[in-house]
This record gives sequence, C-alpha cells and structure tokens, in this order.
Amino acid sequence: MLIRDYIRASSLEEASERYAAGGYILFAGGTDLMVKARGKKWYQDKTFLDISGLQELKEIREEENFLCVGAAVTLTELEENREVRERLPLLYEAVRSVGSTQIRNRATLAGNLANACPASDCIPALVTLGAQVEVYGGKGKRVIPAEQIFRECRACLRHSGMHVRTCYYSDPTEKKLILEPGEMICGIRIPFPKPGTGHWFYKLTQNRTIGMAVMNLSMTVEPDERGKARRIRLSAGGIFPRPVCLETVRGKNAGKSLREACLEQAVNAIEQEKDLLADYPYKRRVFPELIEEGLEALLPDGEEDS
Amino acid sequence: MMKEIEFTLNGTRTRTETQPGERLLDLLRERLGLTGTKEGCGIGSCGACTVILDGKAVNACLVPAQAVDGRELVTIEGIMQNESLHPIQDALIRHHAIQCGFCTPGLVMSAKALLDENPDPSRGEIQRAIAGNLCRCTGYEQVIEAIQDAAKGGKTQC
Ligand SMILES: Cc1cc2nc3c(=O)[nH]c(=O)nc-3n(C[C@H](O)[C@H](O)[C@H](O)COP(=O)(O)OP(=O)(O)OC[C@H]3O[C@@H](n4cnc5c(N)ncnc54)[C@H](O)[C@@H]3O)c2cc1C
Ligand code: FES
Ligand code: FES
Repeated sequence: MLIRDYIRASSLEEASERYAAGGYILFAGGTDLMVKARGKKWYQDKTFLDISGLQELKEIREEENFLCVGAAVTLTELEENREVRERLPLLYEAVRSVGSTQIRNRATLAGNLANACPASDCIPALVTLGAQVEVYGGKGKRVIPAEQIFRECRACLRHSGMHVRTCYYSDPTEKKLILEPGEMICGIRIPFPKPGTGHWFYKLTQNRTIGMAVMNLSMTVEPDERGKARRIRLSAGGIFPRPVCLETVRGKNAGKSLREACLEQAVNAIEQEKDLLADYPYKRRVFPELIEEGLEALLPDGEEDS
Repeated sequence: MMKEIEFTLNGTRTRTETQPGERLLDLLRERLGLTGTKEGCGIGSCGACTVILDGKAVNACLVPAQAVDGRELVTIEGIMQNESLHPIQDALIRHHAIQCGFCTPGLVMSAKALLDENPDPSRGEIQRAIAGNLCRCTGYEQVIEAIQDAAKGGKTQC
C-alpha cells in the first residue's frame, strides 16, 4: 500500500481544517480505500485522515421523526440497533446485505454513500426513504437530500460485473458528489416511514458470495388513511449512473393502475440507459421482474384500480 | 512517517515501529513474524486474514497497521488455552473440516468472534458469520457442524 501518511483526526474541526487544506483523503472504515490503495499509486502523495474514532460522529440518535446516524457509525452498529431493525426495516435489510461480517464491522454508512458506487446496496435504500445528508465545512453545517447529492458516474456501468476495485476515482467524493472542496459528511438523517408502510429489498448477485450486486431494488409502498396503497417509491442499484427515486402516486396515472404506472415508469427509465449499460438486454428484462415480485408481496389484492 | 505504536497483542502490551503504508497484515506477518494470519486476496474477499480487533472480526488486509495503536488485537496465535487447542480448533479437526488449511486460521477467528458474542448461535447465524471466509477445498458443511459442536462444548466424536 502506497500512501504518504496516516493520521487519526482528534476532532471534527481539526479533520475539517486539514481536509480543506488539501493533501488528505477522508478515511472511515477503509473498506473501499484500502482496496484501491493496494492496487493503485493514487495515494502516494495523500495522507489518510482517519475519522472513525471521532466520538461526535459515532452517535445514532433519534431527532423528531428522524434517525440521525453519525459518519463514523459502522454497518454492524446499525444492524445491531433496535430502532433500525424495527422502524427502518428497509435500511436494515440493505445494510445486512453488504459484504461480510468482517466488512460490516469496519464499513460505515456515510462511507458507502460517499463512495457513490452505482451498485451500492445502501444508497437506493437511503434514497427511497428520503434520507438527508448532513455536510460539514468551513461555513458550518448544511443538509442536502440524498437524492440530490450525487453526480453522474457512467464509467463503471459500461463494464459487466461490478467490483469495488473497478471504481475509477481516487477520491469519489470529489467526482461523484456535489460537495464543495473541504466539505465532509458528518451524518445521515433518515425519516421513519409512515406507520403501515411496506418495504421490499432484493439483491441480485452473480453467485451467493459476498460481492457487489448485479442489480438491487429498494421499494416502499405507503398506504392512505384507509390502508390502501397510495404511493410507491423505488430506487435501484446497478442500473442508473446517478441514484434516482421513481415515485408513483395513486390517481395521477391517466387511468392506469398504480402497478401498471409504476412498471411503465421503471421500464422507461431503464430504456434511457440502453447505450450505457454493459448488460443492457439482461437488465432490461430482469428489472421489471424484480419490481413485479416486490409489488406482488406489497400490494394487497384488489389494488388494480387507478 | 515511521511511527511507534503500542497495542495489546494476544494479551501482551506490544510496542513496535510501523510505516504508514503497512497494513495490519504486513505488520503481523513481516514485522512481528506472526504468519498464522494468511493473505489470500488482499482485497477483503477471502477472509484468510481475519483477526479480532476490539472484539470484532476484521480483515487484516483492510486495516492500516497504525490504526491499531492503543487497541486490542487477537490473532490465531493468541487463542490457545493452557497449551491446548481452542475448542473451535479442536472441533474443526474432529469434524474433518480442514484440508489444505489455508482458510482455517481465518475461519477460526470468525467463529471465535461469533461465539464470544453469541454462545448459542443458530445455523443461519453461523453461516452469516463465516460468509466472508472462502474455503476452496473442504466446503462449509463440516465447518458449520464443527462450530455448532464447539458451541455445545465440543463433545461429539466423528
Ligand atoms: C469484499 C468487499 C465486499 C463489499 N461488498 C459490498 C456490498 O455487498 N454492497 C455494498 O454496497 N458495498 C460493498 N462493499 C463496499 C464497501 O464496503 C462500502 O462502500 C463501505 O460502506 C464504505 O465505507 P467505509 O467506511 O469503509 O469507506 P472508506 O473506504 O473509508 O471511504 C470510502 C470513500 O468515502 C469517502 N468518505 C468516507 N467517509 C466520508 C465522510 N464522512 N465524508 C465524505 N467522504 C467520506 C472516502 O474518502 C472514500 O473516498 C464491499 C467492499 C469489499 C472490500
Ligand atoms: S487477504 Fe484479507 S480478505 Fe483476503
Ligand atoms: S481447507 Fe483449503 S481452503 Fe479451506
């Protein structure tokens, strides 16, 4: 591994100052960075700035209707958290599907988002749930909706298969997020879904080992006051160069049923990526199937009316 | 920069020099001569390098050596109990769960991290705990049985 230096940050301010000054790369669990640092010379002039020990970033706390997850919270800590398990089951399943126990013991949710891999398992869940990203920089804190924090990243979707090591950017935060220089993520705020909201997570992999998804799907179905499906939200990994949330609302679909409208929108969206996706014919066929399976499970019978 | 770090290694306070570019795996194998921890892939996929850091199984190939400063580390060399094999090691032998043995130290450490936290795991919990440990020779059935046996006190003769 070729790096200039490694240091542990002693406070969020210190980390932020150093990071803004340049020459540093933020290091949380290192599960993406260590893989890249092994094979590439990208970091020989960079210092890894380890923020994983900062107590102020280790908190999981409830605030109004949000669960606030600090940037140094690991996936294992989320998996073991009762609020996550009981009140954010979509996120719980997404987190549990990441890598192995060893990986989840180190990897952070913020690092997963910052790494902005189009095949990430956590990003589609966060986008579907309407999560917000808390960003810290010289000018203080600001909050950005997760769906709006990403830039397009087309490079890796042109290759079949998805591997962490195929990411083409030494500092994905710079290239794939809209952050200002020196800004870092300090936490992620996830709203608890309305009571009665159904969720669906599916991860399709080449084999059943611990690798990245070929495609994944996160979906929620929110009921109205009478318990009838009102709104479907979904987001998928491995298909789109920038995470998107596709939303379908009952009664706004020109006479089509909620189910039909949802599928039509998804098919239109993937057809836009025809020239980009390496495995387009396969993914074009399978994507609607994944959604149908989720709808089958989440929409009660008799939900066909518009 | 060369830096001196101090941490608890298999129960003993240990001081050593390290380079920033060293991984925990390099520190153990090259500098400290503890070659029980293996390097299979170097990218977090095989689990041959699994060690226990502050009670959690981690891939030593994905941890910078300097990150263990002040922390507690257990490797395969540190789990013997009074000169005898750890019950997990013993169970792996009795269940014929070892062929070439390259994956074994990592599997033992994953299993130990599991049993330390959860002494009575279900089969599913065992499978999840070792999902990050690849074995190319033996397969996983015998390993799972061995871990179940070790959890029950390790009495089954096979
Ligand atoms: C074997 C293996 C299997 C994997 N399997 C999966 C999988 O199944 N699904 C999946 O989604 N991912 C998977 N991953 C990817 C990886 O584990 C995740 O992306 C992880 O969550 C990244 O978090 P980290 O804390 O380790 O990030 P790091 O490696 O520390 O950082 C990743 C990037 O984010 C930046 N960063 C970190 N923290 C911040 C911050 N607070 N603010 C701004 N930028 C920041 C870093 O500078 C870096 O560019 C796998 C990785 C490996 C090695
Ligand atoms: S060598 Fe570390 S996981 Fe393979
Ligand atoms: S016994 Fe050879 S790899 Fe597991």
